[in-house]
Amino acid sequence: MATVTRPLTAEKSTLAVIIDWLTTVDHKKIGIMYLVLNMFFFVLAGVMALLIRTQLAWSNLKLIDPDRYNELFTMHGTSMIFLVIVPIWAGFANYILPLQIGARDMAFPRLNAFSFWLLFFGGLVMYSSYLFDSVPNGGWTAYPPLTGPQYTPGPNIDFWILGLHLVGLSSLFGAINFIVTTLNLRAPGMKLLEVPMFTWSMFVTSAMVLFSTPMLTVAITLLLADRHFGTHFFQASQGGDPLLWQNLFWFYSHPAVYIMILPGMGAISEVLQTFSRKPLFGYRFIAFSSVFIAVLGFLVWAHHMFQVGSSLAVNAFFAGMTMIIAVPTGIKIFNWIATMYGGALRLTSAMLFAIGFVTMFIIGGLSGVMLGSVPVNWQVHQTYFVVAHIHYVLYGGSVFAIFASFYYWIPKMTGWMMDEKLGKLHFWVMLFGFNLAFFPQHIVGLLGMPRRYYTYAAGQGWEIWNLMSTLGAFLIATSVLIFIINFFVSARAAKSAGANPWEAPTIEWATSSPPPEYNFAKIPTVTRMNPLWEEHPDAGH
Amino acid sequence: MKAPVSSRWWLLFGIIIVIALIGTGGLVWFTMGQPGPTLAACPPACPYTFPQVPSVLAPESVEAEQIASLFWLIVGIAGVIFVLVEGVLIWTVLKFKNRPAEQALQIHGNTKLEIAWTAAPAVILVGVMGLTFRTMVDVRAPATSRSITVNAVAQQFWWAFRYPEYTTPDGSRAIVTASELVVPVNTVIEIKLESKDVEHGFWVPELFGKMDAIPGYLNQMKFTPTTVGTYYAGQCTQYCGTQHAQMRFAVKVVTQAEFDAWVASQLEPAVEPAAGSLAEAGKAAFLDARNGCIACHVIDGAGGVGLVGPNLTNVAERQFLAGGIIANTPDNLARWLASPQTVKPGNKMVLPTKLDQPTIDALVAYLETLN
Repeated sequence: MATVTRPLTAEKSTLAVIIDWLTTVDHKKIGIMYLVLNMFFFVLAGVMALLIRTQLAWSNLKLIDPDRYNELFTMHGTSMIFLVIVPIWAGFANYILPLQIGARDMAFPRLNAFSFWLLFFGGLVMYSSYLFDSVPNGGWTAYPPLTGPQYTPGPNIDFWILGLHLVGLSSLFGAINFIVTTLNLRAPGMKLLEVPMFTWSMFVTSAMVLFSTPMLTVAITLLLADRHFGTHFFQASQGGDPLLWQNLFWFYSHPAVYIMILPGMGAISEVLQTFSRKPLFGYRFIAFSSVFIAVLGFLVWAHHMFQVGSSLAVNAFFAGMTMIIAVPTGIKIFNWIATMYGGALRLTSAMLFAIGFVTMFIIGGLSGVMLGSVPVNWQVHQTYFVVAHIHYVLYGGSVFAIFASFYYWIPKMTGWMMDEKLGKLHFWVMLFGFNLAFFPQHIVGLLGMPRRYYTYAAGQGWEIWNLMSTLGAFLIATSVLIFIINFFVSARAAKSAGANPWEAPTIEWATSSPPPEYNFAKIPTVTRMNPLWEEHPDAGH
Repeated sequence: MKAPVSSRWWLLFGIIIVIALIGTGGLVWFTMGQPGPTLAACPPACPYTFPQVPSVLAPESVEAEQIASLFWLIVGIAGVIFVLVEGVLIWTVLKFKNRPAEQALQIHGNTKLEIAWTAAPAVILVGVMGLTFRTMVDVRAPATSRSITVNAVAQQFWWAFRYPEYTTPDGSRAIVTASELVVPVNTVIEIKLESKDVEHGFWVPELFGKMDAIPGYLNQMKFTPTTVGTYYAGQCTQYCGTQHAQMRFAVKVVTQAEFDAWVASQLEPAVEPAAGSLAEAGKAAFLDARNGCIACHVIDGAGGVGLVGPNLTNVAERQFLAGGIIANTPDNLARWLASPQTVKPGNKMVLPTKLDQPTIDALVAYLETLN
């Protein structure tokens, strides 16, 4: 009988490739699936933002009716927070964290795949509401009794609750995995306080997820019980307490703000260091300021509730804690500037987004201190001022850091370089569009425009600022389009990246791009921070 | 080393921005021409336009003035920090960009600097905290000894205001208005906030910061208006459902004499419509259970049991209808009665049957006599 020899490098069939991806437990493939899924939701949430902005471009516009509008801002906020910014850092960390610490995979690869699929189905559950024309409409904060059985009897809020249950579990399992991986799988010689800053940030963030996410699960489970099992946790008419929801919800959702921003701070710390060719200034101060933020992050939740009528003492405590958080945040900003000071800066796309992050985050931080001042908060909370603040933090902050991370790590993930000219164009259009969209919202908020209004009357002086915002929103969308075009153009050009195109110092750049399945042929021994620089004879220390 | 973005790319940057601006402008222009459900029944002049541009920075009460001063102080401090930090950041980027790699300083940190830039913001923040606490205490101190109490009752999607201190001589009826708060100048206005259904928020930018109306709680706030004669736009600030955007109220600040006159006129019993008049037919229509009015509304002295909708006693004296979104004119009232769901989709006024035109005319004639 003739023997059929199959070459070892045979092309896999398309089906085999699909099954391979669907069943993979490889941290790199899971990371890429996260990033693709999150970017899909990013585009969806962006389209919703454009619809919202078009409706608000001028007074008395009639593009969207009130119920549809309420669904739009609910799904925009929920998607951006729970399906884009929180999980996209799990996506980056999945790919990058094991490489940065010299591990072959995450500690629990199957749990890791489970986390991804929980997120996938969580998003699916939430968006399936569109098929039943019963889209969540309680705002991303879903305050009862409005979201209770009496005032929202349809299944709208149930899609939101059940989706969040899955997403919350995904986040929790991911956090456990990142903590165990960082503690146990570091390369020989790598001390915990010498891990790259992105890994450190994910470690601290995961601890926050671990302690805060169960509170969200508790809150939404109680709401589910109110809606279907006849309990009255939040229903005042039956002796429940609507404020219980606010306390539980913000006990998760304020830490969530740091869950969304700390990994970005870690990522841009590395980008700034690499492109300044200078070690991160004050590594330990940046590292411990994250811990400080993480602890304080659990003590400020009631600053979302200054207008519920709490006592002077309660409000004063939370105002004080809120302002103290500006101290560790300031430490980070000063250390980043000091990192660049005296460096040899290369203004690549990744670096521009990192610098953009710092500039925008300063604005968001300062307006945050204003919001922490209780009497000022009474005036500007629930207006577009607060909308501007949260977008300076979460868009000018987190999303800019996400794009910095894409430009920085895509060469590692794909093996090819992103086009730098298109990347810079992306940056400048986004920076201009972002500020055009959100700076005027501070002003229109001071002019008394509340948020979550589907329309507004003429004669209040709000039109011009809203029109600017709308123009800015379309510029942001244009810049995202440039990014997507850049991705595909660069993929076709496939300009080879090599192992370490940026001459970066951390060990994910020591292996090939993209890395082999086992990551490192031989696990390196790491005795110093920034090993790829410090072995270099010219590199100072 | 990559060259900086060339002028050709700046040109492309400019072209993209111009195209996006023109495109968005076109879209908005297109949208403005589209018929839609909102206020489609009204002619262009029908939605209430504001007599003045609202602003938290144009305070017209003692307390709002204190908050505005605090705001400007903090903005001043934040502005200095912003200019300094952004200035140093941008200067650093420009100064050290595109230098040869070997010129990069290899330093890891400096503990003295770290202590300095931890301590400096901490000191500034303690100052801001002090200013904050001082204002928090100040706005609670009564500005004058004169005061009145008003119960503000929030519900989807309108406000009721009840004056418990101003009742008819026999005490059977206190003044109640809808979507309209009339208060005397230089008097402490104590607002007691309640909600009948979901959470709402009470806010008049010129008069005071917002406070939530939460079912099961009785929240209190106070302000002392200092200027007479303007309508201030009050609005709901806690998302409360479909028509959250159109849950407004007007605040009219009047002199003490005007306020006393207003109180007296509010407490007068309603004038009986003349026999055989259209208004009398309107009163009959109001009381006719088939039309549904009395299920939700009440007119003191006439009838009705409902407490769901606004109390219509003295409705003709009010400036606005439908949760403060349209002017109270006979035409608008007729339009509202013809189809409340067209004027304000999702509001809670549901007619058991569509009213015919003669009934609407009679009702309007009757309601217009209630002043």
